[in-house]
Amino acid sequence: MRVAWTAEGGTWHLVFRLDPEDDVTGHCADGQPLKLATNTFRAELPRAPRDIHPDLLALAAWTVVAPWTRRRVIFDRPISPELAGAIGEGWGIEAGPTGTAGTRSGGRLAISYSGGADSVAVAAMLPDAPFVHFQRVSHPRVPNRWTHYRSDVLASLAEKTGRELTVVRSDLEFTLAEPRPGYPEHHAVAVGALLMADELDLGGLALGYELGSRWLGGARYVHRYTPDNLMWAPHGAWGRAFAAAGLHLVLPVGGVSEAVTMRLALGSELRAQLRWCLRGVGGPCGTCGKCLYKELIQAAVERRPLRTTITEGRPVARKWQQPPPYGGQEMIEYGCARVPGIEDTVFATAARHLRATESSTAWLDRCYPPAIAEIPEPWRKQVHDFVDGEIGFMSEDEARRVETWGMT
Amino acid sequence: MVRLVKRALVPAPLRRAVLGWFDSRYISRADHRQDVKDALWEVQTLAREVTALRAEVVELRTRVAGVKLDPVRAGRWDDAHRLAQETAVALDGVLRNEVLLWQAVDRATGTAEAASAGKGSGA
Repeated sequence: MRVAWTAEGGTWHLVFRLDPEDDVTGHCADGQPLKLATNTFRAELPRAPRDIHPDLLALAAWTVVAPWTRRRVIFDRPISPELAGAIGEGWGIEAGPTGTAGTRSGGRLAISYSGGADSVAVAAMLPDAPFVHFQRVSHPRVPNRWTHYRSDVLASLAEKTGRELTVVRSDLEFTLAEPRPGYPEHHAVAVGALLMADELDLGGLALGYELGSRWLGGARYVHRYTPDNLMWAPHGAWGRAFAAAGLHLVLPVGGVSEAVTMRLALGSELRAQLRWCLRGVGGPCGTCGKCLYKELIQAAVERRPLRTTITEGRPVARKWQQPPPYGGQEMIEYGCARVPGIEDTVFATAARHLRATESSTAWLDRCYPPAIAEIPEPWRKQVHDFVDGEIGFMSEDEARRVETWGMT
Repeated sequence: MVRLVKRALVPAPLRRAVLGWFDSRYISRADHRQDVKDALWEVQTLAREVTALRAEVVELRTRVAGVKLDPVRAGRWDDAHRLAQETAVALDGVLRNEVLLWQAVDRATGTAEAASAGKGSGA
């Protein structure tokens, strides 16, 4: 794979070319097969930055081209030996050329802010951290058949938070054809933060990935305990690559479940701007799979019956009519154990299979301590104190629930 | 109350007190009559409004019945929709082929190997 960036004011264009051994089919770090759509994309920064360290440009490109790279990746400007080493060790991919550019570092922690419950919870934990919002825009070469995805609504909600905000607009999701446009690697959401990192003096990027994604094998990953998570462990391939570029991945809510992030988000001063649905305009659409899943969690947190018009026959409810395992199953257990009258909802079958109780899911109300230990030192104390005061930590028995997840 | 007053011999001050208490708690007959009149007036107004709305519905229905979808134009819209979808899918193939073509061009011209040796500009 060969990549080349060109800049026109604040807009950076990337073109990548496949080597003979590369292919248009590949895999995301979580194992999902991916098919390439096209080999160009752009990122529109709010202003032309002074200078961008070559490691930041290289890593931003790598978050897009990694799935389709088989043997080596050649960047258009020399990268640090540290980043080349991280890509070499993490993926077995030869990266270069390397040069004398020193390693990069920065001081501040920014939040990769989507506006969903998890990132609003992160924002509540770090009230002074600036936001970087990544907004999807149409690609000039790919017909946009997904206009129901209202990224403009999410961006305008981010504007209304009143927090220090940088919005980066990009069409990089359209480099992916199958299963549908989206981030080729989950880390591509950080492209805006990477390109603005020098301008904003960023040393860390806080993401809303929670306990399920970081430790329990996530929505479409391995569905079991993952201390060495390839994507989100600091010592995983991606964690080390970001650290090499001087932008540490920080998961302030990595030790808590979506029940806790939901509770924090609903109690947050940003509640009015909270939005996990990508389709609704004046509010969440209430009919997509995401709305259904989040409604289960919200109803559980608020201890009230489920409010939804979605019925069993609808495609978004189909997977809950099948037996487990489910992606994000811990939250389905949590919801089924707490929502009154669950046996009369679309989750009835799931509830019957899971047979979860409040006590069997109580561990999901507290924080898994190792998640705090792996937060980089400059920001660890702030997160630790917040968790200690607002959430509390799991006991050893509860932590064992995390560590045996998916193994019994 | 009237009956109560007539049947029982109640000292005047007490009677006055009781009647005063009742009067302060309950609406007088005159007020009741006025309320009933007002309600009746409202019902009649609403009835007139419903009649007017019904007439409007009938009128709108007849107007809609008059509008017919031109089958030729409908066919053309369907055709445009089909064509847009097929073009988008075809363009997916064209874009992917473009990527593969560049891969073949680079292989034929040795650009990839030159870049690997640190001489080329990459893409």
